[in-house]
Amino acid sequence: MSTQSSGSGDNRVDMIRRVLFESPQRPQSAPLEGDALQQHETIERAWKLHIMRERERRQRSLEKQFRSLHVAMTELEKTSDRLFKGASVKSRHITYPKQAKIPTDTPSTKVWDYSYKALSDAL
Amino acid sequence: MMSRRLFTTSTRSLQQQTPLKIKNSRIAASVILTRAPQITRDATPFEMAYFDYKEKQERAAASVFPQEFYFKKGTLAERRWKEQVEARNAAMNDPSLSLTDAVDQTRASEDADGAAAAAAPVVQADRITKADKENDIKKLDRALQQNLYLIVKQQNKWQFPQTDMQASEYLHEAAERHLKEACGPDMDVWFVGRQPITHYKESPSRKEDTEGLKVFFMKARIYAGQVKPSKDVSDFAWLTKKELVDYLPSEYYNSIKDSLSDL
Repeated sequence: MSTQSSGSGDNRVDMIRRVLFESPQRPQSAPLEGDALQQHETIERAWKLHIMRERERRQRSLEKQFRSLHVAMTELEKTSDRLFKGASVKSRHITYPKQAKIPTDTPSTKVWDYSYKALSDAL
Repeated sequence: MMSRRLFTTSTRSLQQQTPLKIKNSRIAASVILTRAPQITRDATPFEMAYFDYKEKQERAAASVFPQEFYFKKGTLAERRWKEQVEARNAAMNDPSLSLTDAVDQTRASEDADGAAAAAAPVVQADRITKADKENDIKKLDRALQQNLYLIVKQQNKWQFPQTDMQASEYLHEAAERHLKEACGPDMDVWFVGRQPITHYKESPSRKEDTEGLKVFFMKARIYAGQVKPSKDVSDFAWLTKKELVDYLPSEYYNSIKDSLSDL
């Protein structure tokens, strides 16, 4: 970097050095006490309770889904051996779809592709 | 002496055509076709309040931001940044205003001089679509936060697309075949494995001499396209779990409700 004799050039280099090499200052915060501490702890406990309940609700929903599946397969086994065996076979050719996407905060501008056409299997 | 039969007694070649009946119960395959949620769910008021609280807590403990490094002195960008910093500092002591809202307020007020706004407009689609406002139950861009399930009107009753199984095919084959025939092939559908996720039973009654029915439901997901109803299907709808209660008979709904996720 060409060194200019002007002050502004030195300031810029100093600033870059500072940002690169010095650890930034953090405000010194005294630990919470008394009322403020109680408020903070109550808020944190309420949040933990909230996510615990969410987690348990999700877990219960999954358990119900699994139970339905299990009961259906038991019923199928009683009904027909052939169908049960056909359902239990795990195909090595089933792959997870690439089109599956996780939910985003806003939908895409073309919200849903209504104009999808089936691929003509011309082999 | 009655010979004990478990399957239809037709020969193998005829089994291609005959619907499957075991112990006086028809076996049917059905499809629960789901459109997954496209957007994240709305935050509850408690969640929003907690996020705002955390944001302020982190700002209070954050390290000093090197403003002179990122913004050149005297530029418009620096002036805008300083306004936002002032708004954030004012919002720190105001429990009803969040930092994000404070910054949004300054952005709204400065949009009057729209020079920079026009340079790079960020177009964000609405979370509530036209289909939501019109409550069009045939559309797939309604209720983007929830799962939508396909039901069809077959023989004048609402149910998931259902077909009697032929004696030669498996459950997943029957389900895929019927979905293509009844709802058209122009849908990007993926069947989740070969196992039925739930079943519905109507027991045969010897007194009334009615045959029973056993329906096994296969799970499938749709990623694009729309239903094209055929002659079997007089009507169709894409409904959330809550709305299904009004359309499906109660016994039928109770059999399937545990296998649908809560969203």
